[in-house]
Amino acid sequence: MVQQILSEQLVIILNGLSGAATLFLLGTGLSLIYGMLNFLNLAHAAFLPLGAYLAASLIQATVGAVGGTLGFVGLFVVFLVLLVVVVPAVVSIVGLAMERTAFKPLYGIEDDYQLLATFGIILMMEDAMKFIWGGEPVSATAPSNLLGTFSLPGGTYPWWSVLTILITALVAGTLYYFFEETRLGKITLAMAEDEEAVGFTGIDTRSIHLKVFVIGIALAALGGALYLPTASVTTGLALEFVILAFAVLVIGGLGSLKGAIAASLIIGMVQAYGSYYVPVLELALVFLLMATIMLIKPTGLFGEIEA
Amino acid sequence: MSQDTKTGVAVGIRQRFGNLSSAVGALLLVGAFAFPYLPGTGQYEVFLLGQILAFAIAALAYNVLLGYTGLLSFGHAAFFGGSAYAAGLAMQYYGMTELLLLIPLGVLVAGTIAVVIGFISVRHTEVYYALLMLALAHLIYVLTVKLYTITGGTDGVAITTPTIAGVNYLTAWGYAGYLMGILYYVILLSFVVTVVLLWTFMHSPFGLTLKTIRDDPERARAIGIPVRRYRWYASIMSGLFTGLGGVMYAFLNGHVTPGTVLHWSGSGELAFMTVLGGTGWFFGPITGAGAFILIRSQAQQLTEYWHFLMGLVLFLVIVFEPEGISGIGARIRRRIQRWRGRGGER
Repeated sequence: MVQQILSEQLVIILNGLSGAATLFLLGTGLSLIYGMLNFLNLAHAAFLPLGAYLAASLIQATVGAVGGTLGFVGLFVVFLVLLVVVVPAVVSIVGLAMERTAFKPLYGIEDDYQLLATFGIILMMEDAMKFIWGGEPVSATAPSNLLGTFSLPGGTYPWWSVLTILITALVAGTLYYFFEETRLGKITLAMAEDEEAVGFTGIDTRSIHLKVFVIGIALAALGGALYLPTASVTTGLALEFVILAFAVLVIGGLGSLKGAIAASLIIGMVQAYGSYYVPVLELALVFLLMATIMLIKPTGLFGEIEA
Repeated sequence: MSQDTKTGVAVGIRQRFGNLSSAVGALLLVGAFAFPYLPGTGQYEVFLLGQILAFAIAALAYNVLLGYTGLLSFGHAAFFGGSAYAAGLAMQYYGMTELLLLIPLGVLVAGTIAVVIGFISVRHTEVYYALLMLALAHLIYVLTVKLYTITGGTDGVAITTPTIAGVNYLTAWGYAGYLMGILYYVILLSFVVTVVLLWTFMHSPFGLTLKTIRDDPERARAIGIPVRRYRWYASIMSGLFTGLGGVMYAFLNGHVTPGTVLHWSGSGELAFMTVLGGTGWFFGPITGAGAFILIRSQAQQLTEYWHFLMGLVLFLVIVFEPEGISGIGARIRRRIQRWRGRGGER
């Protein structure tokens, strides 16, 4: 009996953590780009499905080409390289190209109009993805099948989700080190305060701007790549992720890494416990929480900047 | 040319243009009333114009916030869809079929939603207002989807044909007669009422107060305007009329789903129409709604990927002409004025 309850709780917590992993990778980029570059990019959430679609194509191609010839370890390494390195890299290049053409004209205009223009961009990105990958749900579960599941008294749980949690924790730690300890991280924080003043000290703000932008997009793409093996991606997903990304942003606080970690853990757990105990209210609780935090602490849990 | 005559010429031009635009307005209105009887007008055209008018009502209402108060909302789908759902659910559960009761019901429900989420949202301004509206409106969306035993979930609610003043026009005139005969005129009349009321409100001290708040909230506060309360009033007024647009759309469409009327992208589309037409001109949102529906209906026939085209148009408008169609109009007008100012010589 006790074992049963413990196992139930374990499954809920694991679900919460893997949900939090996706949310963290999704929301951090949005928060960093808005907090540090002062660019509110509603289209940011579309880079997650883009990463997921790309991951699906790469996994399917790999399985088709070398699936039988590689051993367990070989295939696992190939998948890991594809999902953790190749997908974020390719999506970053797409993001950079879009930065040059679509996002650059929007720097400096009012936040409200940035929201509207990037709403236009996400509509375009959605249709571009639909054009390439079709309107049907796409999935590629090979990496998750490869790792298999482990059994609990209440059922089975995929190892892939555990791996997702571990990789995300590693990424969060690295980012934290990067922004707290390195020179580049400190410059970025200074730029959030006053970009012009940083420019006067001779630092190339444009190149740092691009670096933060690419990090944000690569994170979202990684989120999509890790999300795919245990789920599927379809049109309209980007529009759903937009609001969750904003939830991470406002609950955690603008430009705050600590905030993004805390917010995604909170939302992940609220969703996991919500969908177990009161499935009807699962998402409603998230938006209720979002509104409550905005009213009680407008800067978010860890933010210092108020929009 | 002396200063006086110059001003005189300018006033003259303004009057001539003022008369011209009211003449154009009157002509358009007469055209709209005669529209179903014009040669070559079929059901589809009437349906399209009805849709334009329904969205024009909502976009005019949207502009009370965006253009006059300076607040961007990403929550208007809650008013538009809330009103549409109120009508649909009242028909389904209480057997209400009287359009003249369902319209006020929808508007009232939208107004109630606006009172509540507006009250909460005006605690913030700018992006945080937009995001707070988004969160609260999305709460309504996810609840509607999840409480499917009551709301029908993602399948939505079918809106049956209502009776109007007790008469069932569908059985009397058939569908074409109902759509082109009575429903269209109800929508057109609602549109005219909306234009007259909102024009009056926006040119009253109330409207001027909103403009003052938009231009400089600090100064408005300094001269004693309760800024937050006026933003709340503006949100409520906007919500009420958006609800009127929503209930019109519901009856025209005959079916509402959470995805089409309650999803946040619907709020984005309303913002799109308003910006496309131009926020700085009272009639801008009407042209915006017209252009939006026309472009969309053409694009839908052309390609499955019409969202791409709409997104591109929105993006281009904001980058190149943030004042939308009316901004383009103003440019042309300025050019004509400059040309006239030079005595008609190039």
